[in-house]
Amino acid sequence: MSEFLHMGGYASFVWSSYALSFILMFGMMFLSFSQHKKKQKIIQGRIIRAAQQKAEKKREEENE
Amino acid sequence: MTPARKKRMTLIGVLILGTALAVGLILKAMNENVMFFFSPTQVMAGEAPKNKLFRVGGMVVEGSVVRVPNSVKVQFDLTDNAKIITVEYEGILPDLFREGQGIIANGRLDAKGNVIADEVLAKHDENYMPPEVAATMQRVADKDGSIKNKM
Amino acid sequence: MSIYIIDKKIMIKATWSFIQKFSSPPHFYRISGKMQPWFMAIFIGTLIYGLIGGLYLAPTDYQQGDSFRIIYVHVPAAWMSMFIYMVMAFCAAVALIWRIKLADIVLISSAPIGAMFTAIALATGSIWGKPMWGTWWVWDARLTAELILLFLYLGIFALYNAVEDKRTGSRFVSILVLVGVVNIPIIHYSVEWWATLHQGPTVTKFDKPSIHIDMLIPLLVMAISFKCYYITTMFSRARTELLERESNAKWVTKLLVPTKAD
Repeated sequence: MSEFLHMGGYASFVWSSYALSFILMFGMMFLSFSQHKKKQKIIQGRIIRAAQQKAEKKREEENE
Repeated sequence: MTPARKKRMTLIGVLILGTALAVGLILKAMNENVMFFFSPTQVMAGEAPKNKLFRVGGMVVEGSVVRVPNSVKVQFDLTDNAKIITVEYEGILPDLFREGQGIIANGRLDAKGNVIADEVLAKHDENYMPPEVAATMQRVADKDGSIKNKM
Repeated sequence: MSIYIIDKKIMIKATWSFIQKFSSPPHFYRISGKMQPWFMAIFIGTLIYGLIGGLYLAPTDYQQGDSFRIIYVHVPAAWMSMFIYMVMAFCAAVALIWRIKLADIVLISSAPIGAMFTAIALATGSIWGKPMWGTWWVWDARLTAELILLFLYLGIFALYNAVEDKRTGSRFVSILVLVGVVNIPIIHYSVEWWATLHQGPTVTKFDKPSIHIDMLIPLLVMAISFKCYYITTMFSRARTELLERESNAKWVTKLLVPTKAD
């Protein structure tokens, strides 16, 4: 196992390459996923608010 | 396809061809600068700049590496299988430096026509194989008496 | 003869309507959502196999020892940097000629991923270059052309965000992408056209690849893995972009707030 981690003396080069690549890749992936979720929520909220406002307006008009 | 689409397609074709042509001409004009190194033949023919740093690339001649004891000074010959040029260098060599290996030396010519290098880079080839396979191939090559070109 | 002509006309019409239907925002949003978990699964599966194969099972190299294992992230990332650019160039042409909205969206959703892969290729190449070549960086044709690709990606992203109107922005971006496409063959052939420090192609040449089969298989598996990663991530970004651009459309309301549809 330690021989595997040692990478024939190139451990720092090999492992830093892999760490850098996968930090960037998974970072980008989770950022993209969370942006999508956030956008869904924002637009959902916007639609519901617009519908509520419309309903309120309607009620006001009926009361008058 | 509608005429409007056809027209747009032609415009895009012209755009791509135009840029390709422009870039191609620029690269052709800059060819010397894009070339990363000169071969020993070119250096011997006086194509390399005088009194200025330039790079020379070739294979380290087998048996030509001379290390000065108690220092990091080293001297070796470089060849492109046509001409041979001697390189002197003082410093740490890359891990891949060995006899028969492709090397690029960055330096200037001295009065004797040797290259005094500030930097030595190793150029590795595009072959990847396990050591056992390399050893087998080497045996076959030795039998044939052929020289494997690594540059 | 006349029947054949009618057939041909019908065929073209059918194909066209199929393309239009598939590329319609609600359809793409739904299909991509369904396909995404599958691509994610293939990405993770091939990644695990590729990593075990590359880091553990593959033999050490006769010259470079274990440092050659950087190839399993460096080369697939470099391939992706060019592949994604070609996808974007295709989208740019489609968007400009046929005015298909989806093409713009796929294009701009791909740009950050392409930039990331270019950065990975440059950084891992640099880390690999230090022990093997003896330098972190040289201005040879291959390395310089790849750096220009990174700047192109960043330029595309900056241009898109600099223009207020997304549709105008997309048009500018498409033209920039098509101008930059000339860089792709330059990257690929740089090692053959000019003397470079970077070695020639190992896998993508007409001869048989000059890499041992046990080393090649994990490399190809990693390439598949990275492609699935790209599709998964791009789908997510494209769906975000679609919601943003179509936030007032009925299908978005129907999808996000089913009860408020009417």
